[in-house]
Amino acid sequence: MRRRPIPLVIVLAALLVGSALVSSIARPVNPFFEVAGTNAESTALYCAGLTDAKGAAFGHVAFENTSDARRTLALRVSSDAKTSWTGSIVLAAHTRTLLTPSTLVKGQNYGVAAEISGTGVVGEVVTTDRRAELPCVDEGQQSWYATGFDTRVGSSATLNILNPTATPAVFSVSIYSSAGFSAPAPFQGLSVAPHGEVTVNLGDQIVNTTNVGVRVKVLRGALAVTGVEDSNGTTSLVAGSPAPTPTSWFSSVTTVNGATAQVRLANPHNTTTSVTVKVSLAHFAVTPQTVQLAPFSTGIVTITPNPAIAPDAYATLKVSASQGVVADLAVGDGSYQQLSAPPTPVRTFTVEDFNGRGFDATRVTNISDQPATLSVAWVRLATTSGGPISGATVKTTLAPGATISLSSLFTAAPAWNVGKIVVSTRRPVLVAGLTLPTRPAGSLVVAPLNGR
Amino acid sequence: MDTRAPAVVAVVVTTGPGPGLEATVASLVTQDYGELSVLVVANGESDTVAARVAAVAPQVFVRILEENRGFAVACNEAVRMVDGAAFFLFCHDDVRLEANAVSLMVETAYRTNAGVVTPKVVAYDDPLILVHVGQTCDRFGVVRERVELGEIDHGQQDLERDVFVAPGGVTLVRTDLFTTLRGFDPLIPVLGEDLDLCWRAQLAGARVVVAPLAKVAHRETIAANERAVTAVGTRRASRQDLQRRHQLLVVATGWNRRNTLWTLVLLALLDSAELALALVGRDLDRAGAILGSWRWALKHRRRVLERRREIHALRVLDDGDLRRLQVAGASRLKQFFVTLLREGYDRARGILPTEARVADVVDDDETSGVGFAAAFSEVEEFDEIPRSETLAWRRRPSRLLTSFRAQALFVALVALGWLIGARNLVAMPLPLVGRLAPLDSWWSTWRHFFASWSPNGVGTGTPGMPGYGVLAFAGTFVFGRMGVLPRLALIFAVPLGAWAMARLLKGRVSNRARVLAAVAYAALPVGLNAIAQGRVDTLVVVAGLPFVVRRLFELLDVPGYRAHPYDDPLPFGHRGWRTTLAGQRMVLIMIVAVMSAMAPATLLLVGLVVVGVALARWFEPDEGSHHYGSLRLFGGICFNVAVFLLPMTIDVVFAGRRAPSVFGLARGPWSTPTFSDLARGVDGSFGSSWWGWLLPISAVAALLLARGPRRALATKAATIATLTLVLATLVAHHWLGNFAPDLDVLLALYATMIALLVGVGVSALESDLRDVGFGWRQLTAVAGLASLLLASFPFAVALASGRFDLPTTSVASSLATPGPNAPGGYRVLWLGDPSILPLPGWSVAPGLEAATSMNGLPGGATLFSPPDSGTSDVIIQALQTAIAGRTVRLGSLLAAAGISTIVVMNAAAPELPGVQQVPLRPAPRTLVTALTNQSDLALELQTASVEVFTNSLFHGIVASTPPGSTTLTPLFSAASFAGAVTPGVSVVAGLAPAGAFALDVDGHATPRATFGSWTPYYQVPSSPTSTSGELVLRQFPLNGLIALFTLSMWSVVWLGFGVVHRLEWLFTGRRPRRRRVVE
Repeated sequence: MRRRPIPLVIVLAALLVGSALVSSIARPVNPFFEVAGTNAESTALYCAGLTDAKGAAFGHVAFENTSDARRTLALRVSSDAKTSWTGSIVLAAHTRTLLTPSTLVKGQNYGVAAEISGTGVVGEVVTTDRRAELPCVDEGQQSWYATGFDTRVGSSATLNILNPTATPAVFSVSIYSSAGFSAPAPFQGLSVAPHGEVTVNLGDQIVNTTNVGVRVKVLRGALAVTGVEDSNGTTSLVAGSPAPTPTSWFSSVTTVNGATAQVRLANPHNTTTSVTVKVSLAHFAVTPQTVQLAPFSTGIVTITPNPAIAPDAYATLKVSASQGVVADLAVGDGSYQQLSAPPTPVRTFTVEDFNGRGFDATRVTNISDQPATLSVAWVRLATTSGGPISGATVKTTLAPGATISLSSLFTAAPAWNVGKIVVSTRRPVLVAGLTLPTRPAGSLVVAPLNGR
Repeated sequence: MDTRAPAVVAVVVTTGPGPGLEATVASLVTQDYGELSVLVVANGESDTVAARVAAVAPQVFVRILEENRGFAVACNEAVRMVDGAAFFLFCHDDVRLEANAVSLMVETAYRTNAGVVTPKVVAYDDPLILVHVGQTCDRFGVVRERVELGEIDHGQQDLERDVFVAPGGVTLVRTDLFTTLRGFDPLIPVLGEDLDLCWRAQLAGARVVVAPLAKVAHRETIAANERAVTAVGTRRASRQDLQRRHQLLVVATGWNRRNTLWTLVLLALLDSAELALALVGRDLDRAGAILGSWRWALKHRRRVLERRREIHALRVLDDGDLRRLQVAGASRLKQFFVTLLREGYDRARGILPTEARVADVVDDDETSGVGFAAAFSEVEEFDEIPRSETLAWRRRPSRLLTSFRAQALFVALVALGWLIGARNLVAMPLPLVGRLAPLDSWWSTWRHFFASWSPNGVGTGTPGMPGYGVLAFAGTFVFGRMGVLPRLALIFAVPLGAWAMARLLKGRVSNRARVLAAVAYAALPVGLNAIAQGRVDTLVVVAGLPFVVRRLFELLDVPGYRAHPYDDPLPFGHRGWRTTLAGQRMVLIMIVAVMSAMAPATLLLVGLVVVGVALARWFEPDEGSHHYGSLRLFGGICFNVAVFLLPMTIDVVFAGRRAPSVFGLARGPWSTPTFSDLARGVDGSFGSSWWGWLLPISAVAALLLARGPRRALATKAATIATLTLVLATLVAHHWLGNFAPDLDVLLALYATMIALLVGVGVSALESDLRDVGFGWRQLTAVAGLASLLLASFPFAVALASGRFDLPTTSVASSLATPGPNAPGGYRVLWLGDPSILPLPGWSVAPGLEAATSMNGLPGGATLFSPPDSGTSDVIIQALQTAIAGRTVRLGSLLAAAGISTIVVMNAAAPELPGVQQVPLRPAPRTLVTALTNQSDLALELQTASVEVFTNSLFHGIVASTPPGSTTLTPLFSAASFAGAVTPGVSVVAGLAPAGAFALDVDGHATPRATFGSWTPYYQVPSSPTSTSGELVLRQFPLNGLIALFTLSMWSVVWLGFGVVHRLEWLFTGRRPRRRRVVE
């Protein structure tokens, strides 16, 4: 038989080239959080930030079982006085319970850890003055960023830190301000005992400074961190961000007369960062504002009052930076400011009234460049006789970058004391902005519950 | 009718002193050719020429030219003076013609219808030495002689034939042709005018023929530097300058446009390379000549274009026909490499022939008794090699490593180097990396083979893995010193594999090729990385795979591997049975079985070889091979190996979806070798630089160079290597799911094929390259040879550490774990990439293996892991739950198994700058995040290479709980699971399977319950006040019986190799008749 040497060489070469090409195209990386659950699927909740009655964030934690089954919560309340309380409660399906830490342990600042025998339980930290609330988190973090804190006279800023694991945690706190970077020695190498709680008072080292940026770097273990600011009696519970991001969104930023709204920025890099804030109003076009942030410095972009921005109820902000920055929103009425972190884009979220005041604005923005179909459901809360009652469900399409008010989708104003809104779409492209009813409007902002 | 002979006018051009002028003229006037006239042209000389000529031959005409414008112009001038001549005989003034030379040349011209005729030229002083018998040239105008320097004239060249160049000295040219060609080109006054005239003559359709019977002695005063070139315009040019510029002119005008461009590009490249070499060697004359030739050509570009037009007008021959008249390749380049290989760089630079080389040639001839071809090639036929200088190098190739003494010395040096490189492996404490866990005693290792229960995971009752049997059997030969075995593997596995590689090539290639292939095998990264990572299982494959491949090739009847037909079938047990087909197959099966016991993926390698050979045969069928059916052979091997490894086979059968993991666990695609690494055979630090490409390049060169039977072998090796590489790529990307054969084992086959190709490549250099003209094969050979030589340097570097970079310490052994006497016992859960964990386990996810060790670090009881995870799935599922973020209480889930510590390894050993460098293969980051977020795990240690978590809910493997309480307290001693027990307590044991253990209290078994869990609970009676208890294994010894059966089978088959026949006399009392068995 005639030899066919060339085809064999070609076949071998083709096999090799094919393998090389496919290998170069498919470059696998070490996966990170590929399979980890979302907040709503968590089996643990960590709630930090509450204080005793003398502190700024006196209040309680509300746990709600959104699942159809009974859940057992193994609770541990820790305080900065190194005292703790453990106990367990059983939460029936679709029921809610309140836990006031100050009644269980001594101390000034508290952290609550709940191990849940299953999924579907949510938790919300609510202050007694009903002006601040914050969802509990479901896992510790390795790093934490926030900015906009104020330590001037009349204000205080603290970090409430809970160690939810059995690992003795070690962390350091770095500060960014308009004066630049500082890493105060007393803030370095701090430790938190397993399941312990500590408080870091920023005012101890950063005196009489406004717009303070903070970075908590966890050197060992994982921590749940909440920033607590008291601004002339108004409390802010700041969720912070796990990392600087180049793009942030705020859906409900007030522009009304009498209100104040600022984007507080921090640049954690050693190079100058250019930040552009794009303001979207319903009836006006606004020229984007750009600021240059010096290395390790902070900056402010004022939205309200701003002569370039017409008072037109709520605006949607998009903060874009040349590299990752920390951006928080500070709102108020001139006498106080309340800080809030930019919401994380999610696929689904819940708007539920935990403080009994209802909401002024319940807006949602599609941050993607494609239209998103939203399913907005009104769910009546559980009654003593049974589970929740599913109400109306509205489907709507949200254009790229567009914002709508959830309340406007229903014919009647939502009765928040008897129901909640669950919003979902197919991709994590939704950013919600909730404000409490205030005058001037939009001067108190709260975060929605992620998922569930 | 005119009967006169055609008139010939001899034109003698004399220049300068012309020491041989008289002799030249005298030899012309004494010719026996009647119609010969002689015209002497004095090139710018004085009247003394006329006097000198007149003194010898008064009838000769003399023409004095005012200035010396060169030989060409002088000839042209003479031709213009003459009318009616049929031929011109252009002569130098330093020649001496034999009396019949002219008549013979004219006769030849007529007989062959040649346009140009050249005589046989001999040395002026010694007519026995040939100087020219015509010349040839390559496409670049480089003229090559057709005789060797100093070649003695025995009449061997006395054959009239066409040549390309009629060398200057005495040239007979037909007048009409000369007129058509417009004579010599005045641009070429001397040195090259002969080439130019002949080139153009052939383009015009004329033949150039050598008339060897016409003999002329030529003094070659210019070539011998007896006088300088003094023509106008050449005074500042050296001989080399003139030669190069004239060659360039000829080339630039001698081809059609397309070929001219291509030739000039090639010539520019060659000249550039030569220029670089000349500059490196400070050979400024040569550099100047190269640059000068191009500058000169550019300067005379108009004349060049004009010449092109003129030549085009007279062109009859196309370029293809012209090319066929020339020699192939680049003569100068070929000569350079030949000289470089044989005589070194300094001589290679002087590629123009020198007088000294003549002596060299003679010297060489005196000592060239045994060339390497004579030593290693059975088909060597020296006499058939054409005797020309061009081919001379083929007769005298390098004799490096051709003698047995040289080879033995080389092997001894390499072996010595290896021993030096392994010096620290002899005595250093072996780190706990790879498969270097300390072996148990010889007796304990046998017990593991027969054991009914092993502590892998949370415990398993599957049959003991056959690897224990192999180790225990091997331990017999070291008198039970089990600690010696891993050292032997580390030190001698690679040399043994190299020796096996030499055996693999025995009879197929020369001894030199075998030696080099063996060294290449040792130098390939697979073996070195296996040592560096403590992969004893891979080293077993590295050592034995060439044996397996050789036997497979024999059974598959790969050409050259079955020297003799198999013996006729004999009954099993007969002493000659081993040499039958069945016996040989059984030998292969037993070798594969032993290797598979240590590294089960070996069986896949057999499949790859079989498929590779079959695929190669599909494309290139072997002539006359009568191979055993490939699939039948592979099926037979698989079946028999499965029987020989029965305990493991049973494990695999019951493993279900985990069965493929017997071949290896899926590594993290993010830390597996890239395709580039795989193509170099690298899975570690050795060979990861560009050096690693050298041997694969040599292998590719072999594939391209090999011909004949070597090609048949090379294509098979290349096919197998390619298939291995493709499979390894698929595995590395985790595209085959659970089927993830050990990459290192796959690479061992790849390395075997690379080394085999290297051997074939060397053989091809010896045998195949000599039979082809100069071309890409020579360049490929040079590249391959250079790669092979360069590859020895990193191999030498690898010897530096004295331990082949095996770490001096390991992550595992540096951990502080609970003491071995902790009550209740404990387990350590090891997590990480399968390639770095110090013990085998099961896959949790790609890139994440889980394994446990009991009461301390991994040891001899967990050297092998069955593919069936069994009850240990509880650990795997708990981990998967944690990774998915669905639990924060992993510690409580693992506490039931008595796991006190979780070790997440990112590297096998810590990085110690300047001491040890280890590859980092991080565990999935999701795992570390998940563990960090567990509320009952505490991070104890965190470094780049390891993270250690402790379980805050640990309560020992065996624990007790008082009645009405849920608190578990460790119970019993870890060493024996025996001790005092409080009456009335419940005892829980993290030992699986639950039914295998019983708690004896005061000698009586206690009731057992499981309550839906995998852990057994025992209720201790409350009646006595003080009791002692013991957990005992109560299991039917089925595993032992299986192991015994397996061992018996091995013994029976071994006896079947003729031992029974040999021992026949023991039973019969008769000595068997000796029978010589031809194997």
